[in-house]
Amino acid sequence: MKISLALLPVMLFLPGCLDIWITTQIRPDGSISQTIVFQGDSTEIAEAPFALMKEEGWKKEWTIPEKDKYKLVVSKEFSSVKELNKTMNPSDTNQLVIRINSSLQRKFRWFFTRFEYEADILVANPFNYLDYKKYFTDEEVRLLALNEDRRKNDPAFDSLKYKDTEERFAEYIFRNMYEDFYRQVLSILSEDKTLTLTRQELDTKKDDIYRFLIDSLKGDSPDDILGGFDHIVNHPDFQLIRSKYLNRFDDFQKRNEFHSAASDDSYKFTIRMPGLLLQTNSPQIEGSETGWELTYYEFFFKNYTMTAESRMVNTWAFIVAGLIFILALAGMVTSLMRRKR
Amino acid sequence: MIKKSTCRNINRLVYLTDDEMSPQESLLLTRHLETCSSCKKEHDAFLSARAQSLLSRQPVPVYPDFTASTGKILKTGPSSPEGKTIKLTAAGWNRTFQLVRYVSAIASVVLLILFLWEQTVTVQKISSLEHRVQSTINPLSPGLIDRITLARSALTLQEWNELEPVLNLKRSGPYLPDYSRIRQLIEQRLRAEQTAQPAIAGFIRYTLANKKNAIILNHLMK
Repeated sequence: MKISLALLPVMLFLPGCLDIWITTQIRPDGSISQTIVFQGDSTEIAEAPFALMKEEGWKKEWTIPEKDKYKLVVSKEFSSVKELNKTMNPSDTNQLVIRINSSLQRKFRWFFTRFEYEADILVANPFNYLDYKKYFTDEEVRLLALNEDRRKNDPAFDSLKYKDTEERFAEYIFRNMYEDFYRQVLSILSEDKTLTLTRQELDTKKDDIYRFLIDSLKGDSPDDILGGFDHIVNHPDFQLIRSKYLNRFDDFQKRNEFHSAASDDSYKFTIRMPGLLLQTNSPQIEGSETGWELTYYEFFFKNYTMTAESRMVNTWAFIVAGLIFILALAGMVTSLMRRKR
Repeated sequence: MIKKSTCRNINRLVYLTDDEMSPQESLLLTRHLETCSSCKKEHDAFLSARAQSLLSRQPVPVYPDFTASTGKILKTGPSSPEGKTIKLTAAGWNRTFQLVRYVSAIASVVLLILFLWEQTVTVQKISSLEHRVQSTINPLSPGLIDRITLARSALTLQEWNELEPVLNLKRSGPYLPDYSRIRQLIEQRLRAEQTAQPAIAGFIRYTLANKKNAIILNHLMK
């Protein structure tokens, strides 16, 4: 509803406004150090979709690496992954932020300690009423998630087919947003008994309203959208709703803004594991450091999981085992000597 | 009571046992004790105290035939209770030593198996990770490199011209195609040959079957 449908496919896939690097370092004792770097416009950095932006306790450092380009580096130490989750996946589900839920398992294997780390980036779609599987195949979802360069180099990419996928994607986004707005209107109608417009009357015009909003609506505020409703339905109740219930659409507005902001950003995740890296689903590996470069759409439809497993040597266990071995050897030698006597 | 001079002479013998005296000294003491009640009392008290003291001690592991000047009570054979206690203690140590030996041997074997198992699992995981990473950074197998070389050597000028609309080539002259671009495209297509468009797949098969062209080959091998 923010822009005309014709422009949406282009706008949806523009390069990111903010570059975000999230580095997570796991320590052998289970503590975690997290550093996040934001680079871009200072206003957009301040409104970055992470809960930590409004949290105390983070070490923050602003720099200006280039003209009109700001860089904010925030870092914090966490004693455990549980503490990390309190920030990166706050319990208040009304907060519109990118949510990352992490888990760390340390498994003692006598000579080695294994570390299994998993970070789930939870579904970021703020409007989740429609099942995306009814619109797209898995392959189309995969291509939608890639950035432009990777998509064009992908063997499965077909520019004609993809154009159709893009249009369906725009339809999916708008339908979802419209569904959210529509349900809010219905809830107002059902709560306020003074309003005479019925659900059935509104439902008959549902598609017409949608088409008008997509094709003809100029503004993007809830008041403009309600004006669109009024234009098609032509009922005095909408004047009342616009004057009395506009604040009921604040949440819709926030979700719209979150989607616009988060979808423009690029996300680079790095996980540094202790010891020797054994397994990961990362496409980029350097030593025990694993990296993922993601777009918003890679965690838009479903959770995106990043995993890494490593192991560390328990030196004390080798020493103890060595002593036991020496003891066994000494026992064997002593008994051999006794037999000889 | 003042001790008689004979008592004083014999006093040191009162504090000895039979083992610790010569036969003459033993005879001398016996005769004196028959006549001197105080010395007899002293000697009896000494023997009783000594016996009690020896009985209350922990048994000392000694050889059964040890008979040095330690008195009658230690001159005992294997059949006596004190001898049995000594032998039992040595056996106990022996058992403990054997237990430690077997336990440490078993523990060593278990730890070795654990270590080898862990290493096997680690090697498997690292191999699988390397294999996955290797296939993305270095997709050309030796067989594929050979085929690229063959494809390079098999192209003619006419074939370049036919390729142009299919590969969307940019010409550097009226009849000279952009060889570096063609090489790049061929390599790209051969890497993704499973999903190559039919026209390109056909071209690759065609070029592999053709003879070498020296001029084209020179350009391609630059």
